[in-house]
Amino acid sequence: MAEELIVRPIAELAPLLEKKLISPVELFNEALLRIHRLQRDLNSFITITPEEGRRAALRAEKEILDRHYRGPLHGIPISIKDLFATRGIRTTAGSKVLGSWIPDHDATAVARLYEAGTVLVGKAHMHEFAYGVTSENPHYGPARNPWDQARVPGGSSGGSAAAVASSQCSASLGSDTGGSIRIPSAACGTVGLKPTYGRVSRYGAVPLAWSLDHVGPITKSVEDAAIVLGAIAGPDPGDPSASSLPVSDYRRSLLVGASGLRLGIPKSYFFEHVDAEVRQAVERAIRQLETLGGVPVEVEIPALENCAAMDAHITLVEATSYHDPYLKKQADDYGPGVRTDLEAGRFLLATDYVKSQRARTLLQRNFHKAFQHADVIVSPTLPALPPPVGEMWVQSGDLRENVIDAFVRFNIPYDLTGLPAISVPCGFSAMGLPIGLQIAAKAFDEATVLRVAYAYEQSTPWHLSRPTWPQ
Amino acid sequence: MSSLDRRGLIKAGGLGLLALLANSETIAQDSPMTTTLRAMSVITGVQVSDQWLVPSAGLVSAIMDDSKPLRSLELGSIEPATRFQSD
Repeated sequence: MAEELIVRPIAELAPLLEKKLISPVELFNEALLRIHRLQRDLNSFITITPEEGRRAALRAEKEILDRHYRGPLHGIPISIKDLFATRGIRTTAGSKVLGSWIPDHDATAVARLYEAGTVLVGKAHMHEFAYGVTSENPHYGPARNPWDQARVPGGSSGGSAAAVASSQCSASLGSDTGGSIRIPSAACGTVGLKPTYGRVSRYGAVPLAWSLDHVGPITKSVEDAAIVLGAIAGPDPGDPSASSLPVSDYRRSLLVGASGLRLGIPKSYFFEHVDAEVRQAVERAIRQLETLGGVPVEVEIPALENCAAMDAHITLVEATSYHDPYLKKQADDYGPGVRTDLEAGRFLLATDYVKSQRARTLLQRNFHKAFQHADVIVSPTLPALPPPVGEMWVQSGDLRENVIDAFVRFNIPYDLTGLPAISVPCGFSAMGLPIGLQIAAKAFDEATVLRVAYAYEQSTPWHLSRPTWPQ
Repeated sequence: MSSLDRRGLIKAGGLGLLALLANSETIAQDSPMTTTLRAMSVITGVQVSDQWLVPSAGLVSAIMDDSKPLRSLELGSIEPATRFQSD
């Protein structure tokens, strides 16, 4: 049986679409068929959009036939995490609180993906209000990991990563407040890019914590991440935090390679309490980057031990502030986990919130110093493998800890500092679970993050592995 | 039981709460916090029901425990982060 087109990355599909060798309708049909086959087992979607998708695919087909090719995303099937407003399509943020909200507008990143010619297949499953790392959802059931359906796909953008990994779409739009793009990407074997704070507009995304929320792509390959980021990045009057700095040609930057780049290795914090298989995979990845010309240097980043407390104060307080009107009117519509967080957020002190925001400045300075000695900082994305659904503990090497603390540990430093970071597959555990390598760089230097990730990816086989099911 | 372990139990909802309530030491530890949170309704303007007061108090306790190093962090004249720069 011939391999489906939908399993291929965007960078391979785009030339075929441009040359009219394949049709957007053909791709959309393959994606929809996969969704119908896998939804019951993986539960990657909250809403599937067959009618909207078919119309968009037909429109893309006509435009391409009429020689109005828009670029590498034209005719590509995508999913959108269900916290991004989509005009005319139900947007739940993974909760019952918003009811059957049908927005009258598109989030800016969604509008830009539409302008690029993408075809929406559905709204991806997620942890309720993006407030969690497992995508176990009391309202819509748990999303599941395509590599082992008994396990969580990570979160909060768990449906997005699972859908991309299982080729139910070619790419997905996610959000990342404490790791919610990179955590599920590591758990599902996809590429997840959290850009610099302000690189992609947050307008139209249901917020978790305004000062920590980031928007970015989840894809099958690094080149695909570069393509999607190029489409969604840029200034936006709808989001005052969106930067007016010029958007790089990320795809072109991939070709430069990693030779001569200094690979910062933060031995303390980022390599403490790590599962042995994860550690071995990441150390192998660093050695591989060395063979590509990268130069490892040890870096020290002080004050990282405060990240968990800073993140707790900022996220709880900002989230409770946003949810306060809903809590007053319909508190019982929240699931117990999120409800507990939001109720607790009322009782934290303003002085601790402000101190956490001040400590972010210190953390930014400390990373800035580290980046004087390194071009990128490399680490595991997660310290542990994704646990079974319903399991709240993981074993991070010598430390048994709850999954929330484990999964955000290596991710939140980059949300707190706003620095760009990517998770790229770097191997599998003995049980066949994916492992993620995290690469971070200076603010607005997504080009270097992508360049190193691409060099690594292209020299290893991990991105070619795909989860399988009985035909 | 560490603060992180307690946070995991609290956030896990029903089963976690049962485990929490079975631990008398934790209850004793959280009682002053529960009382404090109840009294704070004067400030917050919101009465949190008993059902949510216990887990909320447990979570606040855990965060307070985690926050001790942050509170003692010397920041001098450092101001809050308000923007992110390319350099």
